[in-house]
Amino acid sequence: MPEPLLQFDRVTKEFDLYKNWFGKTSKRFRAVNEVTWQVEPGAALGIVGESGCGKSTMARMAVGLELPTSGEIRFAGKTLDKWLKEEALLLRQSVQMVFQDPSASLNPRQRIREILELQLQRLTDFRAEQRMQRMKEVLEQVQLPLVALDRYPHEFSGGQAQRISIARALISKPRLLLLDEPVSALDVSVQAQILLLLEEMRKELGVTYVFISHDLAVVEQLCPSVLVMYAGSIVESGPTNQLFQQRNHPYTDLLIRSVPVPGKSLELKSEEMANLENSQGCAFRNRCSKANQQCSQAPILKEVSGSMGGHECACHYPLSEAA
Amino acid sequence: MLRYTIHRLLLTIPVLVGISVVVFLIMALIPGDPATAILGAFATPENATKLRAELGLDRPLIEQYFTWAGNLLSGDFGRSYALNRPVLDELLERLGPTLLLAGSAMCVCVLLGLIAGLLAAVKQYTWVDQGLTLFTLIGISAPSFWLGLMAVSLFTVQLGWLPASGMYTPYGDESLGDLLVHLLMPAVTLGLVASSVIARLTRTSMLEQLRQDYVRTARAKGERETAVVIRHAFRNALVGLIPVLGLQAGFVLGGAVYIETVFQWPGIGRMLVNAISTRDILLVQGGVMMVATIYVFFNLLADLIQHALDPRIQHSHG
Amino acid sequence: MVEKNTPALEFWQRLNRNRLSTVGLLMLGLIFVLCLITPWLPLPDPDATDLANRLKTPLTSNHLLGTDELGRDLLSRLLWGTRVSLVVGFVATLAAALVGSLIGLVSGYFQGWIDSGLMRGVDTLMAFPYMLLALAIVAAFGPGLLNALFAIAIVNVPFFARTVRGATISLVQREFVLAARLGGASHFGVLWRELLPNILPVIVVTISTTAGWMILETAGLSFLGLGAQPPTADLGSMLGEGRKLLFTAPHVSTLPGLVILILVISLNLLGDGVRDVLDPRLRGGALRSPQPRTEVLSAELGSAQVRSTEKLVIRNLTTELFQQGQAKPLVRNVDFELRPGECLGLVGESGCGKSVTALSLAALAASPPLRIASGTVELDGEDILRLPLRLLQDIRGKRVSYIFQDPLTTLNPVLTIGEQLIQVIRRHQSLSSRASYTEALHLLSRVRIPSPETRMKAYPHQLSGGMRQRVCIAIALANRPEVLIADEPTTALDVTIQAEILSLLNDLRKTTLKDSQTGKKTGLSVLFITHDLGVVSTICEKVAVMYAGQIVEFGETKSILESPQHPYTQALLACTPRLGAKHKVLGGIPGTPPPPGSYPSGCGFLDRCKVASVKCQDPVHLMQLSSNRQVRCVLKQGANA
Repeated sequence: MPEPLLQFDRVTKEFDLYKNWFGKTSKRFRAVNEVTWQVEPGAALGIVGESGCGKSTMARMAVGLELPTSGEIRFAGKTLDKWLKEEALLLRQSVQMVFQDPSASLNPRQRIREILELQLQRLTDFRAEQRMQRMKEVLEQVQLPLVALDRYPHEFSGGQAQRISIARALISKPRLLLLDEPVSALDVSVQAQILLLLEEMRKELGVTYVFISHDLAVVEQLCPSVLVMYAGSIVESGPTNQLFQQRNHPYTDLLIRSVPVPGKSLELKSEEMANLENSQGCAFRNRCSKANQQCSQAPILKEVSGSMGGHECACHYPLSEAA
Repeated sequence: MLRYTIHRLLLTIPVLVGISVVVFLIMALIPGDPATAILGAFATPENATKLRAELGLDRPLIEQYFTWAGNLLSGDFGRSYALNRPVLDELLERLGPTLLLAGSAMCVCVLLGLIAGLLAAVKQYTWVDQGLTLFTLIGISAPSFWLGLMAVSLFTVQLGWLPASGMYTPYGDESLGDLLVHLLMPAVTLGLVASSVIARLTRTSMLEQLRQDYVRTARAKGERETAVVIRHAFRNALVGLIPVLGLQAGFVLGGAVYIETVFQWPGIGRMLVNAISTRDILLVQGGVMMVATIYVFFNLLADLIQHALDPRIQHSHG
Repeated sequence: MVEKNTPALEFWQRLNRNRLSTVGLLMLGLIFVLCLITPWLPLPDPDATDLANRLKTPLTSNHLLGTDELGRDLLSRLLWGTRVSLVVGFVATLAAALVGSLIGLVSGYFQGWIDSGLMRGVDTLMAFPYMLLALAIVAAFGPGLLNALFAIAIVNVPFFARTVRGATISLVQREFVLAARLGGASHFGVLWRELLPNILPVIVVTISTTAGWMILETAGLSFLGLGAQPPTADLGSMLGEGRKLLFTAPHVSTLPGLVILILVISLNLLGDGVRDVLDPRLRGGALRSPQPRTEVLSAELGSAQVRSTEKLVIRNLTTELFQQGQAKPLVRNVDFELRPGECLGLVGESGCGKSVTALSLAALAASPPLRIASGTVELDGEDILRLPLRLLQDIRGKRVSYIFQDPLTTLNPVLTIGEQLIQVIRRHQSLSSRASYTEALHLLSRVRIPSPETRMKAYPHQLSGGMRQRVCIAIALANRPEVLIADEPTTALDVTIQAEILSLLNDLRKTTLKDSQTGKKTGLSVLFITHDLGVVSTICEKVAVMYAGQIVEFGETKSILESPQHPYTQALLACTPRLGAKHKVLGGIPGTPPPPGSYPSGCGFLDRCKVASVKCQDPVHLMQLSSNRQVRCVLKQGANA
């Protein structure tokens, strides 16, 4: 088994909610709760969850924009702290990110040429003509014409702007690309174009993807393996096909059943809203029909019985065992 | 609400300390010998030595500050040599007129500003709006002291309707009516100038609120337009305007310096100008401290009102 | 990609479009030129006293504007004084802008202790009324023009610092700044290349709105005798000198004041123009705010048709964007009808005109800039677009009601849930306050909100997104409407919450149908706007697909999803990812939809269509395929003929 490219080892991230008069924290919010996962070189891992589940915080930690409260993140075997201290530039070259909102991720006052060239100037020691060469190359890869270089971001549609973001991220030939909801702001017809582009790039360049999305169907398109997050914890993980077909965690089940599919009517019954506030134990237990006393103790991720390997679930009463 | 009030009251303490440090530092930075500067025309060598000892000028700056601040807290603001009386006495005597002038100007400012802004926004791009816009443009562009002079030359010199200066007619009966007649011109001048800013901000804020989604919801509910404008848009606009009204109190208190000078109003502002020209430093210190403290409490009031009006703030204070 | 000018050129063009700011610019330019050439003008020495000719009134020979107490020529003094005032005002403004912006930028970018340290200082300065602090500074350093300049600059530093800090904070977490940091930019690189160019407009706006104010303040200090000292005179000190002569020679004080007024007015006019162009938040302020109802152009009356069984009949609806004398249609000749108890889905991608259609139905489309160019919306045979406003308001929220997309912004943030519910109940039903309270409680429990009594007292921000949308549904259903228009009601919600809301809507629709079966059979008709074909198939019986402002396909949901006829519908279905589907989605539709308002006259889908031909450049009509199926495509036209 190759050495993992990116590893999260019991990573927790807490944010201060309120501070009292003396600047001491009086309430904290745990956005990411002791998560452990890894991604191998060349793989594409999907991370799925609803808003506020901590998936974007994870992305920010993975690229070093946020530091974990506890736990360790390793890239190519070395912790991010060390990378940032010793070889920050090399880390920046190797790990890049694409953001959700294409219009907000490009500086409105810079032409595309400036946006791309600045990235090259900062990350490489290319000379001017090498930089031009690389810019041409990468624009071709994302299928944009060269004239795009002399335009400002607002002159592009959402899909085109997202292509530019991808070009900027790929221009330093990174090994790992974090994609934080890269297609959620786009219309379906454009979304499909970008997904196809991303898939081609991965095959062509061998970049490793961590793809974060709330949209299960999109993740299924692009990622062979997937993590499902709920309230800061991983509740289920495994190969995408297997996980979606034999879901084990009640939350995964609810999530999948909630996705509206053309040509299918919804099978959910509307019930009274659950109280979502939670103290300890399984975060999903207030919405779960199977919850009982035992669920006040937090379940841990463990191998699903009868799985063909790599399918894990954090639930005291996984669905496969009930059946 | 009570808890929040106490919380905010406690928070004013560091602000007041900060103000006192600035006031102290400014005076400590006076070039040359402060004792001579303070005494001015009364600077005999004996007087200067005595004062130096009194203020502790030979000791380190930080110690001087604590002596000074301690004296302030015990009500000792020092002595005005030019007036030959304790600074505090002079301040207290002049506090009333300044509060009266600033308070009535604030009333004019709030009332006129909010109404004019609301009207201009609702009647956007009609002659009402354009008229009000021109009016407020003059209001924010004209020097208040000049407007005061122009008012005197119209209402006193030309028409003879109103008295030009003072609080009461000299040797008069000092009746309420006499006071009001004297107050009218200065308060309205100051209030009008201050209201222009409020009117412009109210207009902008109302126009912004009228574009919000919840206004569309109110219309979709079939609400009458008056209710949409007043109950929905204006209430939301007000939430953002209250802190500005607090800031405007600062404008009014500062502007009172000019207006008191123009109309010979016996308040702290005019006293300050005189004190500065006679280099009566302790009187300046005391006056600035006093007015800044009033301003802090105006802002506190604005903050409390906003807190009561805006439910969204409540949860950010634990 | 649209051709656009450089930002600088665009700035000038837009600034000049505002006539008032052009006037300000011209006036200011004139004053500048006059001040520049003053030394070469044939004017008497401003300081030359001539006691024989003191206090001459304006228009005397040799003294166009008269003379002052010492017989000095007023015109000459005014021009020289304006020079002084301008220089002092602008230097003070620039100094304050420079120092303040630097403090704001640094403290907004680094935050943490640097920020709290700097801001404590700024807050302390702001705790003084401005004028007072300036007085204190002048008191310490002594009267004089330079000290006054210094005082005015210091007093305005906090203002710049706060504004720039606010702007910086709103930018530092923006994705492009994060991307620059990930691109290895140094702190200086981020500040200089990424933040400053975006904050510069804020600084320029602040400068242009405070410059006038600074000139007033300087004049004020001089007026009090604390600024310019004789023989130097600025406008303020001239006014101060003239004050004593108010009763005898009013022109000596009137004139300098007038000059200050003109100078500051022109600065403020220009400042307003600059602000309108540069501040995106205020750009809206320059536009007219939306009126209570959408403007309806043509006076066409209902075609006096035979009363149909349909609840709502939309005929030939065209809504256009009207700006700068140009009308661009966003919704083009839309026809459809809604039967009692039916749920119709209106599907399309962003910019296809589906929301504008929805809003036009009760004349709620923001007007200006939108207006309804033609068409009728008949509710039980009555055209509601052309009703008097009061009657239209009686229909809104009672017979036709709405649910919108984002439940946070659509509820009034400063009113409680209870207040907002009771408002709509009492607006249309004459109930006592107690009865309406009970009714509101009942509504909240109908949308299955737990413990409704406590929720009545809650404010919108205290509820979760799903709960807020339930409140919006309760408001929409409060007066038992006949038509419910839901404009992307679940788009802002998470998928599990979306499922809950969809089931709730479905249940409510069916119970309403049952309720009214006793009398005439008039159930709740729903128009459901969405971009999601999956959502459509869970709730709608019929679908209208919109593209480029037109309905391109119409029919029963099942038949549209199973056998789409229009190439666009086919392509859209093909590129919608489906969970658990064996096949992978390939490609998507090449190109992008035509931007709203620049729709071609022919088929809107022409550029992206695989089967397009020359015929597609002519306008295409909606073809009736069968009794319940319509499509707008020339290929089908051929097939039918």
